[in-house]
Amino acid sequence: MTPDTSNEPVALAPVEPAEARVDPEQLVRSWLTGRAHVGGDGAVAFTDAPARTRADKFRRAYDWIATRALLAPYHDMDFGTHSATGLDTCRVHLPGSAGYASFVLVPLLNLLVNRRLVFVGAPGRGKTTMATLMALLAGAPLAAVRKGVQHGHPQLTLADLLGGPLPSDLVKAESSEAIRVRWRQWITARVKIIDEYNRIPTKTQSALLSLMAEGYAEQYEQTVQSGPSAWYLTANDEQGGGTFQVIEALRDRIDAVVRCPPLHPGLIDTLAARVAGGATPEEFVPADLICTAEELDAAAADVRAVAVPPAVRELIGLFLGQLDFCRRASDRLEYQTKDTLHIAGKRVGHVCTEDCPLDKSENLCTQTESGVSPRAAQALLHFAQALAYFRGRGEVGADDIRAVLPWTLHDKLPQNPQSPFFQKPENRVYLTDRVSWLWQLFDRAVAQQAAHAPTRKRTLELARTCAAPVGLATPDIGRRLHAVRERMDEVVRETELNAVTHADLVLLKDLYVKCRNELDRRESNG
Amino acid sequence: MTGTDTVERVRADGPRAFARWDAAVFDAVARGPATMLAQNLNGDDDAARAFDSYMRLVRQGVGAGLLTRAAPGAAGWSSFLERLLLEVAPAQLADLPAERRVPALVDLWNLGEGLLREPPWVDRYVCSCVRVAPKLNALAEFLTRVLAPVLTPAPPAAWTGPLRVAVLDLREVHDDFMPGKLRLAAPAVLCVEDRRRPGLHVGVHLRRGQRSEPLGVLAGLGAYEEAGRLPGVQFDDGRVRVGTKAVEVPTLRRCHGYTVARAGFVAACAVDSQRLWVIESE
Repeated sequence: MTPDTSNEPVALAPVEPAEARVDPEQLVRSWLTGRAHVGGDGAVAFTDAPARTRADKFRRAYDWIATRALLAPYHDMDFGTHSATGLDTCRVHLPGSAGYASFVLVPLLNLLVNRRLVFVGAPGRGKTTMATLMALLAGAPLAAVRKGVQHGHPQLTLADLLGGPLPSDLVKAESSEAIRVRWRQWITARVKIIDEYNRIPTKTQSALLSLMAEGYAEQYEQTVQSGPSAWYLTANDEQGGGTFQVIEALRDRIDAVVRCPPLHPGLIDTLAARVAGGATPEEFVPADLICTAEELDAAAADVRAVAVPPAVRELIGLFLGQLDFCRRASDRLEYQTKDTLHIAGKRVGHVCTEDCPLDKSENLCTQTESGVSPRAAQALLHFAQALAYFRGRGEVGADDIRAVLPWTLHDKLPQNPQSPFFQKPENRVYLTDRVSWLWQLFDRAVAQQAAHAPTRKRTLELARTCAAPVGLATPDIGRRLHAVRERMDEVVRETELNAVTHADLVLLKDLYVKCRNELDRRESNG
Repeated sequence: MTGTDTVERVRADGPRAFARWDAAVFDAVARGPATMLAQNLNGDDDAARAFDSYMRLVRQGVGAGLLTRAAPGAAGWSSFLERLLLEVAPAQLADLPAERRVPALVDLWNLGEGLLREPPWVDRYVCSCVRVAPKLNALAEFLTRVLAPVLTPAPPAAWTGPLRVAVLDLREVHDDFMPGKLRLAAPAVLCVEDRRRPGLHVGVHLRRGQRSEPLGVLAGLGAYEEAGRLPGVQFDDGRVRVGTKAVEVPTLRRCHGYTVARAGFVAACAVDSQRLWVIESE
């Protein structure tokens, strides 16, 4: 809806018949068969209130946790057109519409997407409590949740983590197949909590990796499936240090990182009341928030059905594609990536100097040491779908991507601290504040998408017409081959070789090769 | 079980059952309307069951966030259900025969909640037209009667005049409201969109005799389209012509937008005003 400011009167008079006749008597009668009725005891009884939508339950859960259970005054996920108040030295960003606390919202989204999330923060900040609340929302009784929490410690063995063979079988069994393993119950729980995962010994971490990555555990040639589940890990050390170094593959399987906020002075009264009452927030979760497994499954399916429109996909592609690019890694288009540097034992800082003609304040490639894996990109999309679902949107918007981006890429995108970008005084803060850094990266990508749109339009149109040369007549393929080559010449002549141009040239070359291969195939077949 | 036991049980159970439980509202309801009902039922046959049923409604109402206060605020009750539960039931339930009390509470809840499931203007409209509390044992008939004028398409006006004008200042509903596009949400309900803020709507009940009145800021006003021929409307520097009839409207200099209801209403807003003009014709 756009404001109508024209001076001409606007007539919105009714048009063709679409008259909805409502019989008031019938309408009122329909209300009488509501959810209240006379129960077996002769008093009023109720059937459960149907949630307006499944997402409504998760929104209520957010409100309850943020205002009653854990209290989260740090609203760092904002939507709408932002405004700022204050001075340059102290600027407060105000959301144009809703604002949320990532510490509460991202774990809820993780419950919707059945992925893996780690809470980082100093002891006592509510990491385990938040994970416990998620398990309670998923319907587990508190005693079972507490029993199922896996506490990382240096002596944690495979048997402690996964369970072990029945002792009687070990004595009597004549083959390994005859040994029955008594699996730990937490393995099949909907919500799995691993406390201080960075204190788990390396060998046990490998078993955990199988369970997290592949969804099963194996012992004595027997396996157990973990089923759809949301994982919540905690770590006191943001870098994944701790007693044991966390193996890279395990870290890579973690899809989101959430930082636990510090104590706010305004919460002291609440904490004092809790001490006086001897109660903890996880002691009960209101019954109307608890989900059944079926509800969680249905919500997960709803989330996957949330559409990601082409414009948003293009934006994500443009953003992520820039992070891998390095113009100075090679003279060949295909190898102008940071991987080329790394394989050669070099870092981006070695080549991202004044010898590279690209403007370091404009081009995103300078800011990162590497790009993002397809796995991380999928997690980003999936969390954005969950956020759109949570907000009641039918499709993912750029604002959903922006909101979840810092938490899904938090540990996935190493910075290039030597970049001239970070040497500027106004950008130095980004070396410590990764969340704001990731947001500024994305905001620049959005601006670039708009700036490059006119020049990219022809390339993208060409990509659409050449996508499937198999169905084209041979002369048409020849014409498209020519058009693609001409377009490549134009791109090279008219634009500098930056990440966006590079992505377009790779795309055009791919189209060229597909057309060429199809022509060759037809020629060889006579 | 005594009334006090029932109240204490609900007070303890409410927060465990509902995420949106508001203990302060519950306490206020327990002290006010619930106490009044307990006194009215005192010593009556079947009093315990009636009071227990009433408290179950209160429990649901507070838990679902449908009860937000124990007494009407400056703008009245927040919903018709709230009024029924906190004003009508405590005053009238004890007067019903014992065997009718629980069914009456069932109907009260279902009708009140049913109203809230409809587009928001329906409940606001009912709230705005109910001056005298309805009878608890005839709520369905009452609602049918009240809703009929706005839900049933009125016979088309002949547009023969005379034309009469009512002026509504929408600033009284919302300080910064600037009327923009106008459309019908129901046969006699107008939706006025704010010109500058998408999603901000004011509902207006179109009533004969220059008695049209705002229903307040409402979300979720649907669209209603009606059939039939409509007269041409012309605005000419303080004069409005509807079909063959004209009327002087000196304050409406430059029209920003208008819509026509076949029941005989033309609603219009000006380029430079927060007011709404409703012109009606026989």
